[in-house]
Amino acid sequence: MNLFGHFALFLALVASVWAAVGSVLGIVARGRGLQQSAERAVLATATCTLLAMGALWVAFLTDDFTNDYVYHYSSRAQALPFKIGALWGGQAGSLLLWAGILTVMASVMVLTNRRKNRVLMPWATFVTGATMAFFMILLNFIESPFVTGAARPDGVGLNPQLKNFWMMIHPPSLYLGYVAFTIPFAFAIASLATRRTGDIWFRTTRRWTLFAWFFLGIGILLGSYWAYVELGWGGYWAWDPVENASLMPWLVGTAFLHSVMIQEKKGMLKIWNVALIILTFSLSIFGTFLTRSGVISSVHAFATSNIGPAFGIFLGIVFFSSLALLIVRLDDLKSEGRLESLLSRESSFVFNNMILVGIAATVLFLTTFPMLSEAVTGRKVTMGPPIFNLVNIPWAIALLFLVGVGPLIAWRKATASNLKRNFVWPAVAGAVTLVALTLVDAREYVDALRRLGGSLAAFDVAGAFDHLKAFYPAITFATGMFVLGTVGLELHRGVRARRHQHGESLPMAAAQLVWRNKRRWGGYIVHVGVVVVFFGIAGSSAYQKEGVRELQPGETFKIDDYAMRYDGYRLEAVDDHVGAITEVTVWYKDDPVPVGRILAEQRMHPNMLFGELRQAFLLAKASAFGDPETYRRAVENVYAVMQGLEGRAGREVKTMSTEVGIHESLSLASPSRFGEDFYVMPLWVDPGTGRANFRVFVNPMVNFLWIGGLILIFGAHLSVFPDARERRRLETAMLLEERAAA
Amino acid sequence: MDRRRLKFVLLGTGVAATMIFLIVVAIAKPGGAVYYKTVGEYLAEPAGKGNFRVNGKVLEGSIRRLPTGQEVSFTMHDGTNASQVIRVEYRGIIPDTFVDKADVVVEGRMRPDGVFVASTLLAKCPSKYESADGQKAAQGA
Repeated sequence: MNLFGHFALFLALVASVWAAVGSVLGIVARGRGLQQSAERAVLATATCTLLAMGALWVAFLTDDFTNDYVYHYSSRAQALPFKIGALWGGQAGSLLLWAGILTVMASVMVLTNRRKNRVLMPWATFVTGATMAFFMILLNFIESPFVTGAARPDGVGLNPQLKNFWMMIHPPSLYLGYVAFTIPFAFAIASLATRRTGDIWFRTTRRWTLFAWFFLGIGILLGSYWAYVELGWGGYWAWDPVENASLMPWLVGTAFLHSVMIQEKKGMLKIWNVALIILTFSLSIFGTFLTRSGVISSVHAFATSNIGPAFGIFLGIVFFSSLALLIVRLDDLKSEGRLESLLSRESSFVFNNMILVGIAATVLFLTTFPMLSEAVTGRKVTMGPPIFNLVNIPWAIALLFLVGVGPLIAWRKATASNLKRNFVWPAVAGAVTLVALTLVDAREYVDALRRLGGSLAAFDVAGAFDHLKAFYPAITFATGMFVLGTVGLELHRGVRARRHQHGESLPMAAAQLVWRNKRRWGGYIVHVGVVVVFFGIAGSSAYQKEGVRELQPGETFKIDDYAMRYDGYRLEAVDDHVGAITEVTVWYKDDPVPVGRILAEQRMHPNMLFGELRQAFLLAKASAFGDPETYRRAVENVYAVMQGLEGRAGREVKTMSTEVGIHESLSLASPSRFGEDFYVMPLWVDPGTGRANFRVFVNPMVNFLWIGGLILIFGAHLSVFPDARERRRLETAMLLEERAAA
Repeated sequence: MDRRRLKFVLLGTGVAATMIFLIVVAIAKPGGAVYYKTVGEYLAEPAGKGNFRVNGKVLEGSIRRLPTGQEVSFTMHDGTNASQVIRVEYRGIIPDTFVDKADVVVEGRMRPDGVFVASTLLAKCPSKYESADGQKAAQGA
């Protein structure tokens, strides 16, 4: 299988090189045959890459530990889903997955466009072909997943923290996002190269862009969710370089998604749009590079590797040659209109773009600053989350405000009546929210204001920002209510008009309204999702409570308005680990009925390479169905063996992981706690007595993040749903373009 | 340049300028940017004011955990030069990955008695728990 994989990857390399070279020759010689052959080479690359992935999967499923990659990321005891997911557990496999997704997408691009987009296709094929070839070079010569070694009886196994359902779907989702930006980028380059700078390129790739944006966004949210339920630090975002790497292309991609609408409607911002897609694609590559090269130390601590320079070179070529091409073609990108007033939809989109790109730029700067600082001054520096928060939160709130303004403000120049019609009621909603929230904690706000005033009077800017923090949640909620108000008002008006005209029932009118303009309403729903995510972030970061307490079974611990009793524990030996499952019961305030029971587990994954430990573990596992007391003693013995080995053998005896226990309040019966999590993790458990040290969080509103994500998924699906009107628009545009060309 | 364009250029400049301003404020803030050093570098340069992040390895067998499970003291040595060591005291959540020989990053300051008091303790999570010397140990066991 390994030889087969090697061979398939090599063929994929040859095919992808031909896809790139063949299309260039086709362009130069204007040969339709060459172009066709290059396009078929894309399909061949996909076939070979998928075969290589298949070969690797076979190696995983057949426990082929002669394969180094399988040896490192799988083991006999590993459960089936994780044997499948282990394909992207490490570097080489991740690159293979990247390449696999890319080749499949390139094939879809070829199959859907080769008849209608004859002008742009050769160049688009070249760009995707060259990108595929780059990944094939990495996979063939620098980081191959098919390197073999000695035959080994068992593998090391996947890092326990990766053995998680969310971890199985988070990387593929992110990669789908990263990779899909290749297609709009390829068409943008094609339009520059052929000087067909009309709107074909972005109309053709609108779905691709949305697809990429959607999966990248969902990938980021899934990653946060995974970090939240698995890493056990009670949070979901830490401004880690790897997180930032995925956020940057998403921010710039979001900017692109919006500004391209201005080009579509008004023929403006052409240069800007091409620049944005170049930047988005470059940041996607940069993101992969940052994640995978270990250039910047990160808690993810992926092994430092030798793919860094190759990525650097590729990124340099992509970025600078696209930029050069853009500069050469500046004259073809003349704007057909101009910005007239600051109070117009065009301007609000421009402003939204400035903020999105600005935030991306600050994140980029702060993420790479340690590297820059070391290169320039020789001193290493780290940037903690407080820096990112201080810089980005004010602008994120401004952005949220524009989410409300952008879709409803008039084109060209907003009149007083337009502003009044669309924004007075939403503004009232926002103001009422702000006043209500400040009145609830009036005294605290007065204190915070006084401290803020004090810092300002003393010209202490940093201090002022510290005190400003107290106001962010209230401002965020108020701004969010403003946005919800704009969407609600729009819905109300549309429904009223439909009912008046067609005499439809209320739900029917609403459904019809949304269905008749899926793109617009899909967008609104996405905006609502974004607001809900903002609420989740504001609520959970401002009002989180944390406590740590050591408890004996039977003891109770009070935190915030909750009481939690540690009921007891149970030992187990399953799959590839031993663990202590602790059970706690949680009460809220004086309510005698418990809120819920939570199971949380402290696990130890013994290193099976130690014979003694392996035996003890297998014995414990085997006694699982026998006498409970014997079982318990067998598991305790595993703990004892690990402890004994610890002193002699260093750190590789075991890895620890925690299965966090979470109780979500999702019942509308207690609205004040809606979306709140009671989050329990045992830091350690004594296997003999059950004495355990618990870390407990109360995370208000944290579930709004995930609910917002679901709303976002729904909206995004709606907006890409096939729509007759959209198709007609695209066809007209293509027709016009062809006429212009002829 | 006509007035309309000027307005937008000013707006863009304003956004960029405030962002740069915020970055400068954030970095200059006490506890903002933290210097990051290895044990060797930290010992070589007389420690100035403010917080430092020091990066090193846990000396084998040096971990002393206090019974609360939340206080620990240990000796950290420079990864490349094991003779350069500092004693560290830390109170707080001890990460799962904190074990003998682990790569750790501590953040805090030196007490006059020469003990480094850490306010945060990060232990790098190894993306896989097998390393060259781990295998040796396994073969020996």
